[in-house]
Amino acid sequence: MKCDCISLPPQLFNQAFPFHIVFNKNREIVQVGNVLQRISSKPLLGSRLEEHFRISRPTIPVDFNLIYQRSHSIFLLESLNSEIQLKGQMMPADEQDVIFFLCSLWVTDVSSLTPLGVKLKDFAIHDPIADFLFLLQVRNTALADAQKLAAELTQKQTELKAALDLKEEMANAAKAQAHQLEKALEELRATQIQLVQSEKMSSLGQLVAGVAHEINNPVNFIHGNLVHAEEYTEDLLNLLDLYQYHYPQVVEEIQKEIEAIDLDFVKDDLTKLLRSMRVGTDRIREIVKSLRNFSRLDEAEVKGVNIHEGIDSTLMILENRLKAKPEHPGIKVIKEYGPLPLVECYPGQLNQVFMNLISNAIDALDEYALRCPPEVIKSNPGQIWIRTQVLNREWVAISISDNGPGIPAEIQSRLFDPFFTTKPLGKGTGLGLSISHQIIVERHNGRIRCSSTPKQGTEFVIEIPVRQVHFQAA
Amino acid sequence: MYGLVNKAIQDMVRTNFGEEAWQNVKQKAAIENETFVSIEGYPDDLTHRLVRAASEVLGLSSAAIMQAFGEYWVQYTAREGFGELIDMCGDNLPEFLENLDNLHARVGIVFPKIQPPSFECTEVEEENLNLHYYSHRQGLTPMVVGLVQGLGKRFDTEVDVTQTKSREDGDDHDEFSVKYKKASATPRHC
Repeated sequence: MKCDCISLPPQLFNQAFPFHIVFNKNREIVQVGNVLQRISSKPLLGSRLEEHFRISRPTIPVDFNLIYQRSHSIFLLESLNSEIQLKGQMMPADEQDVIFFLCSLWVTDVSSLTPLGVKLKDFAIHDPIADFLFLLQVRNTALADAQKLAAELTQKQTELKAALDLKEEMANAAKAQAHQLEKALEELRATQIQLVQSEKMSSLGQLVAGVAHEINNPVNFIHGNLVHAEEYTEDLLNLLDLYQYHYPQVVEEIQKEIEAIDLDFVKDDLTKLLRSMRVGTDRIREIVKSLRNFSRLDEAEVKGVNIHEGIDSTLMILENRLKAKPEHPGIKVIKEYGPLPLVECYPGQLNQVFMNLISNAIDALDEYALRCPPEVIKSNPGQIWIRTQVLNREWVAISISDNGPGIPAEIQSRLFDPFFTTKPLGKGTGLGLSISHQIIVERHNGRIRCSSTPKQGTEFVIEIPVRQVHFQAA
Repeated sequence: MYGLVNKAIQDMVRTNFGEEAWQNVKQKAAIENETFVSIEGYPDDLTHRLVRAASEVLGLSSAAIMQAFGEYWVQYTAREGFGELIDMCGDNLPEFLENLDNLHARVGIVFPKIQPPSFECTEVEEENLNLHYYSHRQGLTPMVVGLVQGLGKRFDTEVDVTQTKSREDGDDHDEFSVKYKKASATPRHC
């Protein structure tokens, strides 16, 4: 078939395909593009194709017929002598028994062109390889950008994390400081309360001790003179009896006076009266002794103390509240004292704790008695148990329990909080148990706990070390 | 304008005037994110803001900034990985200037959004030629002067650039008369 198409003159063909190769059936190179010839290390024209190239795609040997058969494939030729790779199309020209390899230089890295001495102008203007090279470079730039951005991002993430960590650290520090401040404030408040209470107790102690001392002296006069008064009275009564024996007949005026004063009753009652006065002064002396024991103005120092004396003094002071009265029934105190050694403590403070716990028990029982029908109280009268025991060589325990209404579980955990009270407004300060806790735990390195079952009663257990020396040294 | 231009302005200010000057430029230009992606398209306004801010901060006219930038651009793009492509575009100044349009044309082909300028060399002679610059953007003409001077340095060639036509005077494009002389004795091949 004859073709009337116009074809490129050889010079222009060379410009259009500066890397082309034409070879014949013997694989002899009969024509080469000028740029390919220039960059090849050996002359190509007249030599065989396989002396310079191998076919990497398709995987066939350099054979004219095989190349002819695969002319629809993309061909990739690798130079045996340099880094040159050619990509293109095999176009058999049957009339001339030759194959045209229309190709261009194939590179995947712009830098690989420099050693070959290839310039952009060496490529035909229509050849997209130049655009491809440009794209390759742009891809590299974009990759570098991406890597830089990723590094910046990582750096910023690290900085952010560090900033967040710092922020968290600072927040934690602030929180810890706030907590410490709160704790310090709480301690300050507790100390203030303790101080006020101590001051109050100290003043009260001084007052009580002063009053006790002032009462003690006149009571001792009375008590001491009562012995003589009893003797003298007995002597006078004996003398009177002698008179009546030796002078049975008395004048009328004396007889009238005897009847008027009811001499027999006076004689009988005077002895009883003096005995009663003696009982009264004994009681006053006991109370004075208890007051002085309770107030214990020597509390500034730790000393070995008989705990039972402290409890007894407290009970003596509270005796009036334990007695039956029209408005409430009596409360029975059951003492179960174990054989305690002398315990090193601040006796005045410890007595204050006993006073708080026993007063609370009395308050609870009184309030319970008001709420419950009398028959219930009669069948189950108010009782307070005070037990002491030695836990081991180093610790003793004092338990104060009652059979009152008990404490609801939900408020048990708040019992020792300052200002917490269940008593009506104006009746309780909410400081008794808080101060007791402080005295036992902080001043005596001991423990205090409460266990309570509603409608069955409440028990406070105090455990304190027998000696404070170890703790104070620590 | 593609990010590479903004990055180059940033780099130029930082390299020549320090980080503090750049921070001032950035603040004046009201740019929050200073990370530019080279091949991403950015509004032309952003580049103009940068140039105006640099002009204020550095106390130079916009034209002086753009001219300095044109010169810096040659060094910058070579350093940023385009050195081999630049090398491939010519062995000497006139050859490179003649390839300048093809280079920009290929950029435009690959990234149609970028709309690069167009160049043409006429009356190419032994030591002078006329360079025509076509662009729809305003204010970048002084950059061409700096660009040619930067290329002169790269090719070790003395250059004298004079603007002979200007869009400001009503012409449809800018034109420059470029006179050059290779510093070494090597003869020039076109």
